Amino acid sequence: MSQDAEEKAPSIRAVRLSKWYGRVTALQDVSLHLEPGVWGLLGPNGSGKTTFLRLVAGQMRPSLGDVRVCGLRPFGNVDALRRIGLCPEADAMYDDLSALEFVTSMAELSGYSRKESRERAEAALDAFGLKKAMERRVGGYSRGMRQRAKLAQAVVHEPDVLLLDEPLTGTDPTSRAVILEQLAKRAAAGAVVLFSTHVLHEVEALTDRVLLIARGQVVAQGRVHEIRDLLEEHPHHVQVVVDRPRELATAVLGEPGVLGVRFPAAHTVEFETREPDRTYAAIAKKAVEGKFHITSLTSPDATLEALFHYLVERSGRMAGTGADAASGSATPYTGQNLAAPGKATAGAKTSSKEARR
Amino acid sequence: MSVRDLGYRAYEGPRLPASHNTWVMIRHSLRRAWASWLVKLPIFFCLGTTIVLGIWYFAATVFAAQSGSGETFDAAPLVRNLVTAQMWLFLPFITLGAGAGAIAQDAVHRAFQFYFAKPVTPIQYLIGRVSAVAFFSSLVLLIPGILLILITVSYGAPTDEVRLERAGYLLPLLLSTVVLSVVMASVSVGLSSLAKSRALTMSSWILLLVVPHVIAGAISLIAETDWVFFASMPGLLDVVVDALFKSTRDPEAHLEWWHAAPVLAALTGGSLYLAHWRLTRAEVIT
Repeated sequence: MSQDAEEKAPSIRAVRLSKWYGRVTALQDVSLHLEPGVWGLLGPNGSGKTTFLRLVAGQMRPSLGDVRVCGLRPFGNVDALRRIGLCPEADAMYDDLSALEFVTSMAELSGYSRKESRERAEAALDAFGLKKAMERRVGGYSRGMRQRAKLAQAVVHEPDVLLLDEPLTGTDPTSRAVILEQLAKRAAAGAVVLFSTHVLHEVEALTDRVLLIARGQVVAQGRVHEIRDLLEEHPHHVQVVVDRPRELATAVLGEPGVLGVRFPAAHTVEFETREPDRTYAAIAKKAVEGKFHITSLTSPDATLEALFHYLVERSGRMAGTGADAASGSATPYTGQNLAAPGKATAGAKTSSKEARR
Repeated sequence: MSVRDLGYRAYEGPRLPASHNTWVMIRHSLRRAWASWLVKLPIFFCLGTTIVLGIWYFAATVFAAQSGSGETFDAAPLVRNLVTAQMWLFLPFITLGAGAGAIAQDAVHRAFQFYFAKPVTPIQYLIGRVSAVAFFSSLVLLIPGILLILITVSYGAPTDEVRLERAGYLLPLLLSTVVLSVVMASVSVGLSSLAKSRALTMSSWILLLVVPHVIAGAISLIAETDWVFFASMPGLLDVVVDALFKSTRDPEAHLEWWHAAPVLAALTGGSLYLAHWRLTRAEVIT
């Protein structure tokens, strides 16, 4: 692929991107590069997710830094805006319009003729399961149907970059299934799908590629398990429900990597370990040798939830200490040092670990 | 892998230029405005004034013919009064329904994110909103006015000269329509950008129309001066419309169209600037 074609390929690229409103910093020094696929933008309320999406959608001008969509600066750029589809979080549809009228209007604004816009609107609404209801007024729609209509307007012009702000909020299982299917399909077809959420299982339903954002900074980027691998200091927890927890604890405590043990419930023992694989193996071995009766063996931090909280806390601890390297933006973007898709970064730790390697 | 590889419908046709979005926004805004009963009702009833004034014209003409005075009925004040009547009876409703709450409603629903995620500029958005109000305002001024002129031309005009003179009222009618529609549409839409509460912006618009005019009227009666109408937008519009129809005015009147026109121009420009500023600074587009 030529350099020109590569630059114009579906992508989102941010270089030291910052945005502040007066004295409030909404986004700080974010550098990243997203290629086709589904990306989850994960962070608590007020973390800067929507600001980042709006910057990428060309609705705001960066205070500092640069953002490119398909190689183009999005703000006020017609060519870029036609390649972007945005589904805002706000439930901002006119109740007296039908979904077809609304989506047709949005298609027309993307540069299609009225006839073409209507055909596209029908196809988009059909794809999101609203074929029978498209002539009905949006005011009579359920929350899930409204969400699907919003998504239909975002994809009606077949954008290369799809930005979705909390797309699954308030959706019923049917709507959720339709939405997830459509997003996955578009990502597989070569689009960049970036969706924000603060509900972790929504991310896991679609992708394991995430950007974790907290306090306006990207605290990690990459695949969940890779991020975990990089975070050596992040202790893993293995919880075992067993008939004789204290005896099992005594047997396993001496194994390499096991840092500590606690007993959260009567028949439960929780190990803290730096080497979860070895610890799992040791527990299994000791269980057989000691004839322990194990009811369950789980890792409370196996989900994204634990990782997210850990990273946010870590970011908080390091904020204001001159350790801004805790963010994913610690190393300026150079084109080489930024994580490629699927390659996780997690701030200072990433840099030091890469250096050791 | 490209977007087309998995069966997406490739669009081979041309895309219309971004400037086309101005027309799309106008059409969209017209549909939005038409959804309001405050717009529909004045459109349906705006011919009522023409009927009343038409009957009055017939009666006056018949009376003049029977009295045998031989004087030709002066139809100019009739058309001029129709404009004033429409301005007070119907324009407030149209500007209220389509203009004074337009931006506030979009702000409440955060609808800007949909528009401005497309290649739509705040100016195009504003043109759409103002045009819709101006269009419906024009309808309630122009259609009854033209009908009334047609009545006066086709009935009771003794000579071709008089018919031609009455047909000539079309020009001041057209100019009055443009002035009234643009000013009232711009100011009402500008006002709607000031707050997110639709109720607040709509009630402010009614207060802005009525209260200064009533106060100015009261003061002018007591102090016998018309300068106070500087504070009244309808008062200023009246002065301009009077000038367009070359109406006979009170010889004591001081306020002339060249006083009123710059104020109205400033009001219109200021309102549009304010709305644009609010859209770009207070909302998402920064």
